[in-house]
Amino acid sequence: MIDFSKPKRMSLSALFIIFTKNFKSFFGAFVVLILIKMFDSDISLAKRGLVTLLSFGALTAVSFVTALIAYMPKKFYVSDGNLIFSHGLFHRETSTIPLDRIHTLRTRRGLWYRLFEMRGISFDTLASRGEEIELILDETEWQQLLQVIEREEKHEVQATVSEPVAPAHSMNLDNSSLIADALCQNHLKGFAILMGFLATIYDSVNDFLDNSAVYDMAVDTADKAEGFLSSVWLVAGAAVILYIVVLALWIGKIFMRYSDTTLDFNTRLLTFTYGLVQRSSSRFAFDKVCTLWVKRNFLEKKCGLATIMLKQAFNATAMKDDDNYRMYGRDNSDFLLKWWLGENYAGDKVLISAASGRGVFWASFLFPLALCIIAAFILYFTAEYGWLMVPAIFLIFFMLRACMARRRSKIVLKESYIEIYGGYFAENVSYVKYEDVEVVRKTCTPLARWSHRASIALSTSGTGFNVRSLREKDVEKIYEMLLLNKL
Amino acid sequence: MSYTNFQFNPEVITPVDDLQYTPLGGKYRTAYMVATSLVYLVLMAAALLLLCLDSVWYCVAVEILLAAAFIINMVILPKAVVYKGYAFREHDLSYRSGIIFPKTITVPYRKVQQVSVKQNPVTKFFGLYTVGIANGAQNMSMISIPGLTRETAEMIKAWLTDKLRNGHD
Repeated sequence: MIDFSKPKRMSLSALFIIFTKNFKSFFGAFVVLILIKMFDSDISLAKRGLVTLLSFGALTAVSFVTALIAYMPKKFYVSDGNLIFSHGLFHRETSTIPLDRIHTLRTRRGLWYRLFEMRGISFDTLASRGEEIELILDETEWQQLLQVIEREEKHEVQATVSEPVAPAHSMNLDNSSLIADALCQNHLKGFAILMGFLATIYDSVNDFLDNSAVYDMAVDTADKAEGFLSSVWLVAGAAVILYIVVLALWIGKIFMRYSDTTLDFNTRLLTFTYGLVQRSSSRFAFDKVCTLWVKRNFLEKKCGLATIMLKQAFNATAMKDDDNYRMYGRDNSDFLLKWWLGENYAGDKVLISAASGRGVFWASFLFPLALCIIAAFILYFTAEYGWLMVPAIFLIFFMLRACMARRRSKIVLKESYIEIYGGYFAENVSYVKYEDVEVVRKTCTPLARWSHRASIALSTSGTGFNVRSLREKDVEKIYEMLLLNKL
Repeated sequence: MSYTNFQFNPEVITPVDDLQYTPLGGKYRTAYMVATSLVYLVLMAAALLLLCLDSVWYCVAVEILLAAAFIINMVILPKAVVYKGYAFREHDLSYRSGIIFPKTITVPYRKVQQVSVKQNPVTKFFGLYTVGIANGAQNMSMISIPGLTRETAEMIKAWLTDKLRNGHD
């Protein structure tokens, strides 16, 4: 039986594996340079051979030294139910991971690993920014370390009483409301991207014509067409056509991805199966969902639609936002909230409610204001007075946007969950359970001594929120209540 | 483990703003100043590359800007160090920092996932350690308490791991 209670290094085979990995990465970085030297016809064949040999020698030496630097200080041991790593030569670090916090063990067996009968093992906890350390162990060490970890896990499992799971139900989400909700979304972003793309192509074509021999021939035709091309109606018509194209592309994308959605659910699990051609599925375990996000814009509210997203905890195996399912269509938020927060969630008493102040307006408005002022200065000094209208329109738009942001920003603490309101023109509500709050932060600005306002930020394992410009007294209460309600 | 769910009474809790924060100590201020000076030294050395440009004034302007920023930084830095501090309560730990944008961050013990004790070459020279506390949050997932002596760092690590092991919150 291996003694894991004293600090130990990995075996020498691990050093060789680290060396091969380092060599591979260094070789990848310098391969082009080496190839250039190998086939350089300006130098003699003997010199080329010598340079190649020296390059490989240098790569081997550097790889070995870096492997040694990585290998020698890396030690691990198990003590008092903790897995302890120490590593780093210049940046020395000792990390302690309680064994019961390890929720995934990832193993890797590449070619070199298999040759030496070794395994690369990474330990995942819920910490998204925790130390990502790979231990390279042989089969015996791995099996015995696994036994030690499993012994700890058994304590955890014994302490958990499993709840009975109700039988599964199924429901289909209709495609007509999916298309209706796709139509209600804000398509201006896609429109702006396409406009920008076409404007770039238009500029490139103009540059080409200016510099090419066909310019003279084309210029007559262009002059004739200029009056027509510059007409406002044509520009407006082109914009409308482009908008319709963006709309069609968007609806097509949403329909292909989310049509024929089926929802299977029981008390512990939600499974969405969706897609027209390629059927995908997203599973949400009751205890893994960390935020339920509901967005309703003006049109969606009128039509009884909503965009809903269930957000899960991120970890090393699920780091992308793609793992969250976005649900367009009829407003099913009440059904999902009942499933996640309980049948009586709507009757929860409000413990405290705090709305944001002017700080939200300025936080949203300052950056566009600075951009618009810079743009206006440039246009003024280049005597493009007509175009000054553009930053002015943008300024009005961003001012309205900032006003809406201030109006919507709010946090409401209820008995069993938190509601965080946000958004600009559309209203976003994020629902978070107290037990999912991982960390809380209070931040003040230099103006706090006069405004008596502060921001509160809270983060779950998959989402983060920052509610700005709240009254300091409210922040103090909310801060403590967020921490206290974890019990 | 017995489950408790006491009524919230703000008067019996010491709010994070009223906590007695443990300061980080004078040695940390020196180490921080040395580390900051080194960063500026590297930046000023890199700015010398601007001498390759046509005019020498670009280089002079950047060096003057960097020197001004360095002086301002050195004036603010001691105040920032004085403000920094940490405090432990029954169920959570808080860390306070920031002089222009003061902030306090609190993590409950039961949300702690990993504890690490770190040293870089500068802090090693001064015999100081940093305790890194990783939690499962998407943002603010790491709280680092710098400028600790070996004994304090080990004590904090032992305190946190003990809390974790006993499932205390």
